[in-house]
Amino acid sequence: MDTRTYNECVHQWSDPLYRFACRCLSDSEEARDVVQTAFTALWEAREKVEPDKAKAWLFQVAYRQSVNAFRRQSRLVSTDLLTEDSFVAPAYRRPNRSLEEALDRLDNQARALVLLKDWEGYRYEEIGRITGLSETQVKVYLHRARAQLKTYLVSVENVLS
Amino acid sequence: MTPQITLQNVEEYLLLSLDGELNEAEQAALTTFLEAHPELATLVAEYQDTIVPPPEPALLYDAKESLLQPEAVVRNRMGSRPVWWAAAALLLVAAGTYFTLRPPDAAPALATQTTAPANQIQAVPEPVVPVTQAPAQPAVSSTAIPATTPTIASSSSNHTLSQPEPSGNVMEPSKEGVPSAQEDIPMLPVVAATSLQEPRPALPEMNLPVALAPVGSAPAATSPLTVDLPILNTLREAATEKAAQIRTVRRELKNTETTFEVAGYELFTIRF
Repeated sequence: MDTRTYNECVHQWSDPLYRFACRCLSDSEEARDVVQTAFTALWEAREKVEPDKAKAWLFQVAYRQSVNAFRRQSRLVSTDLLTEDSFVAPAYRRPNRSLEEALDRLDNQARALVLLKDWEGYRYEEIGRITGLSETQVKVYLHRARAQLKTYLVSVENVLS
Repeated sequence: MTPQITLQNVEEYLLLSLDGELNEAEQAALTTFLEAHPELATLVAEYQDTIVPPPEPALLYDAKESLLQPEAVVRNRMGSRPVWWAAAALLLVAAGTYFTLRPPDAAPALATQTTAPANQIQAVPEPVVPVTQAPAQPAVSSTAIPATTPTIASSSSNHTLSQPEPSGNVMEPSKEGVPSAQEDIPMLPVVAATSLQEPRPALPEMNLPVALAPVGSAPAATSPLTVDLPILNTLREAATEKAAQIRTVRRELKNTETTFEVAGYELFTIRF
């Protein structure tokens, strides 16, 4: 991959990568760091990365970074975070609050699998390469995540109705 | 092969369908099964609600510039004005033309030196330089050039013939104001055809008894060494013009420089 191709990847994939990281981490600053790290890694490995594999490569780095960041966040939960600002809907929130809340209730891996499937349209096999899971694991984890989402959405509907 | 869809595995097929992982046969079988079981429509709708809609396109990564890497560029400190490229092209063309049309000897030498053994030089008033061989003429015996001498020249006011190795004898200028050998003549002189023929030193080896035409003798019209002056004038003017162009371009390029950079690093600089 030459410099021009790398720069094209920046223009083409930095926004989807940022949205993915934002949604996985629920933290725009962490997401910004993830994107920076992913493209820095891509630049350093540009000699080995084929241009048509760059997107999957970036999401692979972003996925791992997101999982690691999520683990750090989980260890650093503090009551200081529970301020009024915590309840302000971030910019990446969508109007469908119920589904967003349902996504928030998923673990980070399950949420990443759903986003890789629904946003990026990857097949099970491709998601497996990105996440390091087998195709069967991807299928099982995704179906489990869908079932959790459905259960939450149905319960919310029942409460509201 | 058509899959066997039942109430026990329909949910799995339904999820595979939502994920776009079914082939055509499987999708057709699922559709048929769901049409046969309308009570599953609620389940289908509930799972369809779990599909996360596309992200907000307005959410953009606003620090792309920090990710971009500089691409290799070649910058010219003189700017990218086409005039410099045109000047460079003109320089090449002019130089090629000049060196193609240039006489074998250096032009200034031809212009300023008119040398030959003094006792062998006769002024020839004709515009065509006669360098003839006249073995049968009696006068040749007194003016004949020895076979080992490469001199074949004769000169008049504007007709110059010179030896490759001047003997040091400089022809005295004539009374009509012919420039002396030391005068700098800006225009290239009219050079006799013999000076354009290569190789000049080989001429004596041809054992041609080349001789100066005696005064008053008619030039041999069939001599291969005779060239009409208009052609020489044309060549001279063309060469002079190209030389002037070269000087002009050289002056324009003087004290300029071009630097080639890659990825922000200077590789080399060409100074004119």
